[in-house]
Amino acid sequence: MLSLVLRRLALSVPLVIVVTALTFALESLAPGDLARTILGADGTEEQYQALRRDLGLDQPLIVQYFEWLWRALHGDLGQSFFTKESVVTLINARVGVTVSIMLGVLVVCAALGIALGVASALRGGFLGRAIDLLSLVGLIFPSFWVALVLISIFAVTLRWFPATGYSPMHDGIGLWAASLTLPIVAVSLHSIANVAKQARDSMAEVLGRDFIRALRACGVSEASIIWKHALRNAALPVVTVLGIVLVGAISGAVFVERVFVLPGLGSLAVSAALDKDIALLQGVTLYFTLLTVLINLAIDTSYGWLNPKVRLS
Amino acid sequence: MSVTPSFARRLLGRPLTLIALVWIAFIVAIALFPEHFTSYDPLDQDLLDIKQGPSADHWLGADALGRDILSRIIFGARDTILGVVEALVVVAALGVALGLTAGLFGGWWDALARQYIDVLQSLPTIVILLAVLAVFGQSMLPAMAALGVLGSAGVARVVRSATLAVREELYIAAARLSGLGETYILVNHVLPRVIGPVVVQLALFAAIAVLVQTGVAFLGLGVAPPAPAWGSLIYDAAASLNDFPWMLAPTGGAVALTILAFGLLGDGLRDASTETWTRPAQARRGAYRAGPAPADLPTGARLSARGVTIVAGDKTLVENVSFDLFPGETLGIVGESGSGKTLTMMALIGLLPPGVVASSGMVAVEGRTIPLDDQRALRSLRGATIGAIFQDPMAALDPCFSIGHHLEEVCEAGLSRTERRARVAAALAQVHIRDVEEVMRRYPHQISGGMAQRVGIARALMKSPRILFADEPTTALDVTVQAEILELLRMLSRERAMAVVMVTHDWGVVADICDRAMVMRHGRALETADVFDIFERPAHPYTRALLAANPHAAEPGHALPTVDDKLATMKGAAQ
Amino acid sequence: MTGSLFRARGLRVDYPLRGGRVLSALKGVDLEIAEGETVGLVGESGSGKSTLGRVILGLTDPTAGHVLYRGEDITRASRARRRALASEIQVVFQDPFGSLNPARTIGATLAEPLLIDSSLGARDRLKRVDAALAEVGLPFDAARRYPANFSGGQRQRIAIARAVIARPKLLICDEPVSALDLSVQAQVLNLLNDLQKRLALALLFISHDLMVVRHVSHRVVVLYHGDIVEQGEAGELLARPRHPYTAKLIAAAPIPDPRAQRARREQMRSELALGGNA
Repeated sequence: MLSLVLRRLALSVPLVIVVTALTFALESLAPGDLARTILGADGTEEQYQALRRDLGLDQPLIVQYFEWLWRALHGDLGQSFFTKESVVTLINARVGVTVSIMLGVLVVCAALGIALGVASALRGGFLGRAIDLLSLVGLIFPSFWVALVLISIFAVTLRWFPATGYSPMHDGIGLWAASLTLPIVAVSLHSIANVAKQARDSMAEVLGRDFIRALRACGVSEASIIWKHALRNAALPVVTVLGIVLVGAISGAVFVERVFVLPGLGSLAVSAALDKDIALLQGVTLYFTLLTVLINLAIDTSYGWLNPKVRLS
Repeated sequence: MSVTPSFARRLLGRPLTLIALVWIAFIVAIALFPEHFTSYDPLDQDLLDIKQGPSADHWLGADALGRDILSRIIFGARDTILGVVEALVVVAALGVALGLTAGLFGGWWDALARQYIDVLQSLPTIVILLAVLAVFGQSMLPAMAALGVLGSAGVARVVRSATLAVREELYIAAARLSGLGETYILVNHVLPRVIGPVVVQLALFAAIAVLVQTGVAFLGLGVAPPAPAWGSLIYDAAASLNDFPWMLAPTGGAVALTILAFGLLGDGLRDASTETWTRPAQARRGAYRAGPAPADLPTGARLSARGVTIVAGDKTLVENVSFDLFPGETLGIVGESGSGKTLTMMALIGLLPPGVVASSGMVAVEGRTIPLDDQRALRSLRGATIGAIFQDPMAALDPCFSIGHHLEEVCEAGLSRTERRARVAAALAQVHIRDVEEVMRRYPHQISGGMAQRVGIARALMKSPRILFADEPTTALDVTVQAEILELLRMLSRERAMAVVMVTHDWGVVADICDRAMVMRHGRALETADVFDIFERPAHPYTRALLAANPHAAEPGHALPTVDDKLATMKGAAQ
Repeated sequence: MTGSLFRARGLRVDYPLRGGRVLSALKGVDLEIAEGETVGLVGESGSGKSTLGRVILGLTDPTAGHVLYRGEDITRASRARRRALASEIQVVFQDPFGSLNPARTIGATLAEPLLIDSSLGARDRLKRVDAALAEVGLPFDAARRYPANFSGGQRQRIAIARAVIARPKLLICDEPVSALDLSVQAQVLNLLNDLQKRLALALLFISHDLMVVRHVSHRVVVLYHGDIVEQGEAGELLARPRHPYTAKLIAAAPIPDPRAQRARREQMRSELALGGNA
């Protein structure tokens, strides 16, 4: 098991390097000069050169990158080009919101998706077709559009939830949960049916296997067969899909944080992109990549726990 | 899948796919020639008509600046289609090239490709796109190209698996051994099979491209206002959400319908590419006929089956089969594949595969008479009255649980942990497994086929049933292991005074272990007799022909007599 | 005069395992096949019999040893040489469903081995295909149909037709009847015997089934864990086996005659080791 974890961590290093180097390299491809862009048209030559030195732009790209990497390993991600605040500080203040959304999406998709999928595999018929339909609906409407519709119905018309804004946990769990409910629903809708579909297909496939028949022939109870044996074997593909859902939730969070005006990493990333605040964007990208690494690690360890073949070889 | 005329017919024959194709063509048309579809200029403001619902003048209403929504949607189609094309070109070129070469050449290139795919697929798309847009924010092209690069990983993965799968096919090896060159094989054997999954992936990716393009525009990136990109339109709708929620509908609808169209197209392509598209047989419930209560049940029989008839849809698989099983004997059910021998036995414990049902018949055991549609009663027979072992001993074990667990869970309830373990150890010792403790800890993938079958036997006998059903238990095993397993079965059935039903196609097994045998063919029982009689005085011509055609009984040097299907007579060597 | 058509000398195939260990599928095997002779290769799972077949066909490279065809060392023959050899050494696989491309007609598949001969035009190829189909007892409208329309036994006969259409000298049959019903096995075995006599083919018949092998072979070779433990004339080997493993194999295959089988069982009971960890 330990070797599994170490292996995944080892594989993650190239991932992080690729992503951070990529964003670095992108900056060098920018049309126009960053310092010029920041200064605007009316900066003097002196200011321009000073800014370039300030931003470290006078050094070769590779050197810039390694300097950045070195500082990053020490917990310093530089300063935002525009607000001059520490990138790390800016990000840490907002990580909680995004992670809350992602975890919320995971719980909702897993619980509802698996429940629906298993029910459909066992009962079949109408429920199966309903899932197919729902998966289609969830897939074709963009999450931000769904978010807008939810706001229109539940916030503007019914006034059950706030339309925008985030209420931090220390102001009250109830308000906190209310401010995150619609965003989580908007992102989850896209994926619940996918999870249900995978759960259903997996269960149906496993229930057709020989060892299920052998268990029945031995008189093992149907409940034990379904909830202990079939579910365990069907879990692997479902876990894979849940991993994809989580990574997708990062993208979903970006849009949903914009729509609901939530102070999370996603909206920070968009602002950074709109403002061309490269330093900030690099920091946010790094955090997102680390999140992805964590998700993949969680999936790998789940595999190991669920499947003895993976664990023991 | 090869692109044959029948493929095109199957594709266009599905109404949903056809509609999807029409819609996509329509969107492409309005993207190319928007002026022909509307007379309004998308930028035209009419400040007298703001935030209007659908009307005669404005079919889909007018927005906050009085601009005609329908026209804006029409003109916005171009950006969407352009974005899709840009992304598709990149994803197709990169993904297909990478996947094909990785699958074909293998080696270090494949290892490199796999790394590339892994890394790319782990990246959160929107984050990379934001980085790209931060630098190239004015135009959608770099973002769509970046999307193409990110998506190429998924396409490459699918193409690679398809290529590998085809490469591993036996007929590719056969083609090579026929002296064909690599290029010929690539073009004639590999590519036709790979094109199918590729096209499906591209259609599905197009759907994603629409979604992403809309999202980027919604965020205010990649397009310059007031260009009517669909994403920007949704943003406009968001701005007027409080008092003009209607605008959400047409804007979201256009996007959704286009994404749906590509998705349906992908599904249609996928379905059309399966060669034999047969619907699984639908089980017809309630078609059970009880039949007259049998009056001729022999008193000494431990189990009697009467009138077993099994159907799948409107095909009859087994017809009116009856037999008795007496204590201490082993009855063989002999036949070739398709004879219905396994189904007959399985029906008696209610374990028929989905889509297959017993439409008539009953089983009498231990004084009870159970009609074959009474699932509940049949279920109560399993384990305690009738045990079962199967053909593939490895597949009969749950790969997620240890051997010890498999056996413990079949123990009776109410025993302590130590008692259960002791019972399990005893059961394993009884089937002559040494190192019982070690084996109990192991998982199914860590033991051999022979041992797996011993475990299967131990498990079947845990509740001490008086009857054992054995479905070709040695077919998948080496002949030396088979001999041991047969001897084990013989010994156990004698010690426990069990009656055994043994389904087999092997006359040697019948001769070895069976006391009586029933010969089946095409779902019918042809004859049932004492084993010596079956071999020495076979009554039915088919039995005679089958016995004679057995290579194991052959005279070397002479041609084997064969069974002629139509006439069920013998050709060739003398009786 | 029948000379040695084919020789394998000291063939060794090792597969590296994790942890530096090595799995020896073949441990130094010598084999010889004369022209027009059928050699039966018998072994159970893990004996290396399929590996041997693959090495001969060039599908697997041996770790050591040589494969000689008509005196020429073809162990590591170039791809071009292998293609040229395709007209001399052919194969029939075990799986009648996987060995034919389901998307191509029977006619197209049968014509493929003929494509390498540039002297044959399309019409000649068609005629040869029809002749081949007749040779294996299939109607010649089969050429227009797809593999899905045929049963397992028929597909195996098509595979045999493809193997012999270019008139090879050596045919490797890797468990050709193991996946077929008993009654169909008889047809295919008769066909192989027939073709062998008519075309003066040398056959390497690989199987786990000793009785089937005996039926078609002149000589039998017994393989056990990568080593040849015994070889000899078919009838002689079965009547008087010299190696204990051969004896075990013979004893284990039940005789399809209840009286004889029961008698043998009594005799063998003490000798049959009831191995617990098999």
